[in-house]
Amino acid sequence: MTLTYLIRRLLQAVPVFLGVTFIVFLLMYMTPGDPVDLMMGEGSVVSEEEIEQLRHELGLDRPFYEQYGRFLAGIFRGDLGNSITHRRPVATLIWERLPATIELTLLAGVIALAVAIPAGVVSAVRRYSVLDAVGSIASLIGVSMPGFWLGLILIIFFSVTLKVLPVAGRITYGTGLEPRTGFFVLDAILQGNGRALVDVLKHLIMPAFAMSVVMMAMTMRLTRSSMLEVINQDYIKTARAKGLANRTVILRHALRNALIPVVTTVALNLGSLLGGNMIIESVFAWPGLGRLVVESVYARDYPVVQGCVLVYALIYVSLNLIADLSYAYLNPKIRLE
Amino acid sequence: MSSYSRFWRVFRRNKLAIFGGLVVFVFCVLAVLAPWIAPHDPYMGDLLWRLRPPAWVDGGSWDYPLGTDNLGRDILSRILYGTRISISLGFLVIGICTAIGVVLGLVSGYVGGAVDAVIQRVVDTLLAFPYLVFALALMAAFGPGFVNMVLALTYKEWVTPCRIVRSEVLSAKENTYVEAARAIGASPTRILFAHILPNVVPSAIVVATLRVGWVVLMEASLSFLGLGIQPPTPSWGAIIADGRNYLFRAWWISTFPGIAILLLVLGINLLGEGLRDALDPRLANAPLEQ
Amino acid sequence: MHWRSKLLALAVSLLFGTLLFCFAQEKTLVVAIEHDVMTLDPGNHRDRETETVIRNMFDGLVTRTPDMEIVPELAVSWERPSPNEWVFHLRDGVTWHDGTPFTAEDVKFTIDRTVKEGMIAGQTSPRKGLLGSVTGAEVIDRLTVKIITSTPWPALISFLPFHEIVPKHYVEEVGDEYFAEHPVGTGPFKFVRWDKGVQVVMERYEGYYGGSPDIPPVGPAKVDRVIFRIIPETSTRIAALRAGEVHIATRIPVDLIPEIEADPNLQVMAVRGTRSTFIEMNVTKPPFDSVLVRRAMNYAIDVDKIVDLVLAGLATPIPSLLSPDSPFYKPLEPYGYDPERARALLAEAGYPDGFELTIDCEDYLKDVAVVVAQMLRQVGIDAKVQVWEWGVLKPKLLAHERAMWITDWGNGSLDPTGIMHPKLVTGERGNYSGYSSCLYDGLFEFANNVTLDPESRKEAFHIAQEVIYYDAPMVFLYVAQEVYGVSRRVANWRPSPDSRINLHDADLMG
Repeated sequence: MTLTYLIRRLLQAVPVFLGVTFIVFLLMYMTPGDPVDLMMGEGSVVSEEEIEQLRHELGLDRPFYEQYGRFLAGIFRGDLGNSITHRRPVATLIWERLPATIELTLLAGVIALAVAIPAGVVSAVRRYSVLDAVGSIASLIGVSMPGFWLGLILIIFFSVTLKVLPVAGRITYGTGLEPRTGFFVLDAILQGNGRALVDVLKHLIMPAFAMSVVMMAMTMRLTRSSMLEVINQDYIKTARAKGLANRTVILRHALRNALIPVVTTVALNLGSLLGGNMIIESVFAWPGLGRLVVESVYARDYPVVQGCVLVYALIYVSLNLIADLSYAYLNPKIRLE
Repeated sequence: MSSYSRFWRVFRRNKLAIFGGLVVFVFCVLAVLAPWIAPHDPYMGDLLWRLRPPAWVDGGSWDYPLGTDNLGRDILSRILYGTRISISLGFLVIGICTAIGVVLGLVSGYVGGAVDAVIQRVVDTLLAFPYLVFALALMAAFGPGFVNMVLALTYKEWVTPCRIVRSEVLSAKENTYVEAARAIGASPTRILFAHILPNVVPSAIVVATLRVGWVVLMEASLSFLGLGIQPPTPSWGAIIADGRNYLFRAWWISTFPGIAILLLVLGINLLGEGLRDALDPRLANAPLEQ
Repeated sequence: MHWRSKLLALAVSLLFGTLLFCFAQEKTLVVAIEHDVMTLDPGNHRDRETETVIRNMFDGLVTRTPDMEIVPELAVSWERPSPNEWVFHLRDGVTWHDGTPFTAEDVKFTIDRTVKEGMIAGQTSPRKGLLGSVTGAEVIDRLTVKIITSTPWPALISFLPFHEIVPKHYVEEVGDEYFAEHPVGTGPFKFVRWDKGVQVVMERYEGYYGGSPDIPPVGPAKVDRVIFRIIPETSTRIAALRAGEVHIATRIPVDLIPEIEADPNLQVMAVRGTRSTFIEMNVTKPPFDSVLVRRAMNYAIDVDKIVDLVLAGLATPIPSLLSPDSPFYKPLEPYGYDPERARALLAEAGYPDGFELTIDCEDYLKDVAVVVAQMLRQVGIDAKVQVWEWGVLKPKLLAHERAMWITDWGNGSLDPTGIMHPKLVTGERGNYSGYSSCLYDGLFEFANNVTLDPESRKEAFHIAQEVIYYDAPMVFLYVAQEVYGVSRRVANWRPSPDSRINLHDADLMG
């Protein structure tokens, strides 16, 4: 039952990947600007032949369908091609940066949920109380601030004025950490390197918080409104009427049902966080995928953009699957057809 | 009692919602009146008056109540003109997207089957595409500008209401009153519009209100990445993004448009919540309890 | 290891690590740069930041002093036995970071790798264009090498500082891909690690031969370690500088100078760069097909005011395209601000009421563009500004679809071949304005491929500058200064016009 469901979901993902790669290919193809020309820069005389030579070596002189076909064929061989500006394999570039992005996003997600769900429940249960008002205002401010602006304010306050947190980056040189998994928190724990762990966490906290704020606010509001709806449903009233303790009703019956829309949204939001973190990554000089993508779009480094988008899509599809599975788990009424 | 008067009775009681509506109304008025009330030209500045602080700070002048930017342009005038951009962008994008999203979500959730499958694959594809990369690539391909900005923000923004509405429809379908309606032989259209749509509207409103703010912020994000609305057009996002390098030296440049965004989004949200309480039949019929 | 003992180890190392950290006395100089290096292979990139980092681990045949004078580095001397041959005598006793001696074989390997097709992992070096008409090199003996060109190319010496010599034995042994991430050079610092997107770390090479004798002091580097940290966002770079995390921060916008000066621990260092900024006009279409209109533009724009107000005075107005630092610079009198004359010229050209105009630019030049538009409005031209992304704008410029745009062009070699040739010779790849002048083209042909006499070459370039001064295919604006934020602890370092950050002599006090 669950297995056939999984297989069906995986088959459904195929058109998604085809669609995503096609869109990105088409967009990049339509974008004016030639990567080789942009790379060659200034300050010298470069002949057209020389540029054509490099374009030919990169296969950029081939027609659209052929380039797309080569890209698809490459994916099956696990080969995403070579970067034009970095002149190294795209898979290597992505592999170097992906752990940094995932580490940051996961921590941001954890912070967001840890604050948002309890806060949302409290706001709903104590509706129109002072706590509810404070929560609402805080979440409103949260969704109303541009992420980069918040990031800069945090840096100015905690790093320049108080000097308690490092301004940017991922780790200080000289902590003796050997990057193996690429997840520095994990690496530090595996190597029993406490100094590195503290250093890594200090670098993580500001960008993760800045990234979590929007998700925190949205999740909290959603938890609150979802909870309010559930509380007013008949079965909760019945449960209360039966004389079950308020806490039991809230935690056992209401929360479980209220979390259903929350779970879907959280998974979608994690996907957006991943796809939208280039701004926080730029502000905090975080060496993740987002910065790589932005730089590559500007440099028209097509292979890198295509590879990154594919990876984003892969992560998104997996997250979505997890969300749907937990959706079914939380709400037995929705069966996995 | 008609549903309209019930709506009005509940809405009127909610002071915060009235306040929110008032804030939004004031911003709309400012947007319309900007050319007549702005003290200076928002595009042209006086270089001799660059980086002046707000009037109440040392070195400030009431000629430029909120100070000037690095080209000597009046911040207040730029914010007033920016109101036009932000409000029209926010409501335009969200209006289009909510309409598309609600319709497709209703159809997808209620009809199901192949229609649902196709819509959901399109939704999955757009969602799987990282939105900033899409916006970035689109702006790179077609150049910055208002229409392209609307496109870059619309392309998948309808997906969020669509997803939410669809899941609401799915759970509403299981509800007793829908089953009851079906049992007494109500037509699918009637079930859809009389029984399911009213349950879906509140969620759509909550989502849409939050997303208006999101659109205003996305405009700022794209400006940060250098792909905003065409400078020197004074959009709030562009003013904040341009001022970010001056946070130490001239905090006022990006602080005031930031406050403007905060106020507008706050107003929209309060209004949206008021509408939600007043529109939602379940919540409205229930006694307002703890 | 059991998890409990691991936890203990964690706690102990936490404690001692912190203590050790406090007592560490090594000198580590940290430089904040804007984006990550593309590669650490000196032959396989076209990127300024990459060059800056690599130059501290690799030396070239020749180098530049901070005053842009070309002096020997790995070469001791050179001569030109025939128009198409250059012979270089190499320094003895130089070793690679792995201890192997440096020889003429390495130089030949480097030159061939750069100019011949498919030499770097099957691909051609993107730096080929920086070696003009060089076709290859020959080894004469262990310390003598001959570089061969297909035409007499007098600019060779000006372009050689861009080419760092790579180790033949090592590259052949480990392959191009490994070399790109684990470089071995002859420079003052040797490679330690490259954390992608975060930093490049290098340490002093104790066996360093000392560097160019023309740039004293000669000897090993002063600091123990150098870290190039990547911080893309300007405000963050400045914050890191103020927090004491970095000692040198690149690319400080002029507007933020007061902020750095306000900090007693910091100072601002500026140097005139090698990048000329100018307004180009499409000379193939009205109104700018008229030289009168183009001159009117030069009179209508108050360059001094732009420099004073937008650039805080940190720029030098130029009368033509070349930087005043170039040895070929001809000091002409700039047009000067004269709106009356501009209006008169416009009327004479048949535009008494001006015309509508869109000025194109990239985001970083939009402040200048907004001011220029204001000035043009003063002479009756209805000007507005449009900001583009370069990748989008450039094809439109090459297709001659736009009318006027503000842009710049870097010329690290300071030779006219690096800027006046690609920008204004007929049909060149940087010639967006569509300018075409037989006289101008002929002067470049003469200077670069005919004459062997340095004085005639210089004379030809002087005339060429006058030609474009009168033809005015551009409004010549300025060469801006590049601004660095520097900690007061940094000693013996100053910025260089070619934006290299040479840390060989730099020291860290206190």
